[in-house]
Amino acid sequence: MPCEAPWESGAMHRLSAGPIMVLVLGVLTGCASGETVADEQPTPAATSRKSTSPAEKSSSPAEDVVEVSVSVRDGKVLPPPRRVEVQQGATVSITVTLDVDDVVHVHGSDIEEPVQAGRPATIELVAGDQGVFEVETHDGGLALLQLEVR
Amino acid sequence: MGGRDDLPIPFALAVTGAAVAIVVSFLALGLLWREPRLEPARAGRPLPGGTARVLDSRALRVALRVLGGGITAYVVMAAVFGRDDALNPTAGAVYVLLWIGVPLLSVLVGPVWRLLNPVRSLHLVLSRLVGTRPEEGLAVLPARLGYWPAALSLLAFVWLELVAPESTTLPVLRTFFAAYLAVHLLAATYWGSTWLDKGDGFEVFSGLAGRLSPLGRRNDGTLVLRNPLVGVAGTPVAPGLFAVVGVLLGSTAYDSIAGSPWWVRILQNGALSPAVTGTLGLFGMVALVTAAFAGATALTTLSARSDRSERSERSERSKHSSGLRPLQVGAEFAHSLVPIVMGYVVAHYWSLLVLIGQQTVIQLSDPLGTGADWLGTGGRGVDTRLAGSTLTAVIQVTAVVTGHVLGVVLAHDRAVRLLPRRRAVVGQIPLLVLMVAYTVGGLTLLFAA
Repeated sequence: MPCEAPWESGAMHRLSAGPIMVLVLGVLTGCASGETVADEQPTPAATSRKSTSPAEKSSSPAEDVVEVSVSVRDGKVLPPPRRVEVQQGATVSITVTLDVDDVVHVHGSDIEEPVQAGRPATIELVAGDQGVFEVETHDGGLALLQLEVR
Repeated sequence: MGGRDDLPIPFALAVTGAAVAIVVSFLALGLLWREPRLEPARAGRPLPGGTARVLDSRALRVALRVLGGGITAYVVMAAVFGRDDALNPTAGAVYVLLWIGVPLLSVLVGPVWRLLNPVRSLHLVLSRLVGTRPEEGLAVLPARLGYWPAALSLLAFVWLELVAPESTTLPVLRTFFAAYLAVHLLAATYWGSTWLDKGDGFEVFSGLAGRLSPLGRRNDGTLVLRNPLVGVAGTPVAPGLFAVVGVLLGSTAYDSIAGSPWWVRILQNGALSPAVTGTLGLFGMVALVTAAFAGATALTTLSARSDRSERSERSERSKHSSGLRPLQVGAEFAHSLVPIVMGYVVAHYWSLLVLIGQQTVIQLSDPLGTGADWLGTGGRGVDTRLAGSTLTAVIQVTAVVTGHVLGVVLAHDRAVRLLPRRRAVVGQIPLLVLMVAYTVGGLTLLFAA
C-alpha cells in the first residue's frame, strides 16, 4: 500500500530556537492501513499502536517508550485531558487523531506537527527538562494531554 | 505563558510548610508584643545626605523616565513591527518582565514603576505642554473610591493574562495596551496624576510590593533604610486595598488551578465556552478570596464590638456599637496580606521568571524577527539551574511560609493598635485562621494542581 510522506521531519530544523528543549527524535506521520475508515469516522480505537515502524525503532535508544494516544472528535478530547508521567530522558510517542486538520504543538518544544483529519499522526520526542508540558492543538486550542516530566 | 508548569512540590515539603505556618501563627498569638511596635513615622535609619541627594536628584528621575519610556518604545516596536510568532519578545516583556519582574524589583528597591511608568511620564509631559500641574485635573478623585480603580485595572489585566483567548499574540496585546493607555491617560487628565496613584494597576502593585523594600520613605519623605515590616505597616489605609490584594491573590490561585487536568476538562467539556468558564473561574476565585477576607474582618469587628457592649449597656449594642465598621477594619488589615501575596507570587512565578525572563532578554535582541542581535544577548542560552525542580520547590514553600509569617506579625501589630486591649488576641483569631487557610490552600495548589 502506498504511503505518502512516511517521515515528516519538518519539525527538526525548527528545533534550535527552542528555549526549553524537548528533543525530537522523529515525527512519523501515520500511514494508516485502515485509512478509508479513519477518514470518515476516526475512532479512538483506530488510533492506537500505529506508531511503530522498523525505521523508527532503529533510531530510538533502547529505552522504554511511553506510548500515549489521544483523539479529538467534535471538539471533545478522548480520553479526556490527563497527566502522563514520564521520566526525564524517556522517549514519548504520542499518537494523535483529529477530525479536522490542525497543527499539534508540544509546549516547551518547537514541535508543531500538522495533522490531517482522520490520519493518525505520531509525534515522538525525548522528555528533556523537568516540568509539566501541555500538548495542544493549535487552531482548535484544545489541550490534549499534559506530560509530567520527572 | 511559556507552556511549562512546575512539577508539583513534594508532599512532605507541603506538609512541613503548612505545619510551620500553623505553629508559628499560634505561637505568635501568645508570644508577640502587646503594644504596637511598628511605627512608620519614625522608622528606619536615614540615608547619608549624599546618597539621599543622588537618589532624589532630578537627573536620576529624568534618567529613569527616559529609561522607562525607551524600554516601552522598544517593546512597542517589537509589538507593532515584529513578527507575530513565539520568538517575539512582547508577550514575555509584558507577562514576565512587567508583571512579575517589576514587582519583585520593587521588593528590592522600592516602588520603581512610579518612576518608570510611561503613562505617568506621558501625562507629565502633556501637563508641561499645557502648563498645568500634573496633580491637578478637572476634578478631584473622590477619596471613597480608594484603590477600587486599581483593583478593576488589575482584574482587567489578569483576565487578559489568564482567560482571554490568544492572549500572547500581538493583535490582542496591542489592543489591550492601546486601550490601557487611552483609559489611564484620559482618567489622569480628568482627575490628575492622583488617578495613577490609585487607578493604575501596575503602579499600585509595584507600590504595594515596594512596601516590603528595605529602602523606603518616612511620611515626611526622608529616605531611610528600614525594617520591611515597618514599610508594610505604613501602607496608607484606604478603601479597596483589600480588593487589590484579593485580585492579586485570587488570580494567582486561579492560575494554579487552571493548570490542573481537572480544570482543563471542565473548560473543554463544559456547556459554556472556555472563555466564559475561565472568566467565571477567575472572577469566582477572586470573589472567594476577597469574601473570605471580608468575612474574617467582619468577625474581628464583631469581637471588638462585643467588648464595647460588655462595658456599656447591653441594649446599647445595636445603636452605638459602630465605632469600627467591617469595611474600615478590612482596610486597616489589608496591608497584612501584602507579604502573603508576594510570597505566593514568588512561589507561583519563580521558574517562569527565571526561564522565560531569560528567554525574553534573549528574544529582545531580535525584536523584529530579522535575525538581528542588537543587544548582544541573542546568542545566549537559558540557564536552567536556578529553576531546577528541587530548588524551585524549596523556594516555593519558603516564599509562601515567609509571606505567611510576615503577614501574621503585621496583623498582630495592627490588632494590638486598633482593637480594645482585652480583645486584641481574640480579635485577630479570624484573620489568623484566614491566613492559615490561604497558606494551606496555596501549598495544596502547589502540591496538587
